[in-house]
Amino acid sequence: MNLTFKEKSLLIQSVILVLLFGAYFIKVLPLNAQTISSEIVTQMIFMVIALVVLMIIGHILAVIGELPEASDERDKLIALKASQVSSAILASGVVIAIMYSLKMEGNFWSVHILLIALVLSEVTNKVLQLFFYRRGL
Amino acid sequence: MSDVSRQISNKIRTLRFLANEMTQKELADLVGVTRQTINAIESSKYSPSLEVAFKISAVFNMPLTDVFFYGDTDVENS
Repeated sequence: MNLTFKEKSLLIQSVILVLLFGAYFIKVLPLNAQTISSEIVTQMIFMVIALVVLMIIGHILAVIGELPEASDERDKLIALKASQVSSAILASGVVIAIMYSLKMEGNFWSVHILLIALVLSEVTNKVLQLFFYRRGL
Repeated sequence: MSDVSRQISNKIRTLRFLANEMTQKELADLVGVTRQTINAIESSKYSPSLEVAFKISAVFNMPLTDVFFYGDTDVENS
C-alpha cells in the first residue's frame, strides 16, 4: 500500500492517540475516584509530553522518502467533512460532561468524559480523513 | 441487476499523454494543486472545483466540456 505523507501522518496520529490514551484510560478509569488527584495530574502531564515526543518522532520517520506538499482545495474539503462528524462527537461529550457535573459531585468523571470525547473526536477525525483520501469524496 | 450512476468523468490522462507525456506532478504545478489531487481527479475519486477545472482545461487549451463530462456509468449491483 503506497501512502502519501498526509496519509502516513494521519495514520501515525491515530495509532499514537489510540495507544497512548487507551493505556491511560485502562490505568486511570478503574480508580473511579471522586476528584482528580495529584498523581493523576502527573500522569496527564507525562501523557501530553509523551504525545508530543511520539508525534515528532513519527513525523520525522514519515517525512523520510517523501516531502510533504502544501494543502490544496481537496485537503481542505476532506478536513471539513471529517470535522463535521468529529465536532458532533466532541459536542456530545461536552453536553454529557455538563449534565454529569450538574448532578454529581467531584471532577474525576466530568474531566474524563471530556477527555474521552476529545480523544474519540480526534481519532474519528483522523480515521475519516484517511478514509476520504483512500476511497474518494 | 444493473443501476445507472452519473458522475463527472474526464479525459485528463489521455490529454496528458498527448501533451508530450506530461506527468501528474507537472500538471499539478501548472494548476496549483497537489499531485495526489490530480491523481484523484483522474480516477474520478474527486470532482474538482470549477476554478481548478477551468485551469486544467486552460493547460490543455481546450474547452471545459472537452475535458470534463457528466456521463452515465453502469454500476453492477450485487
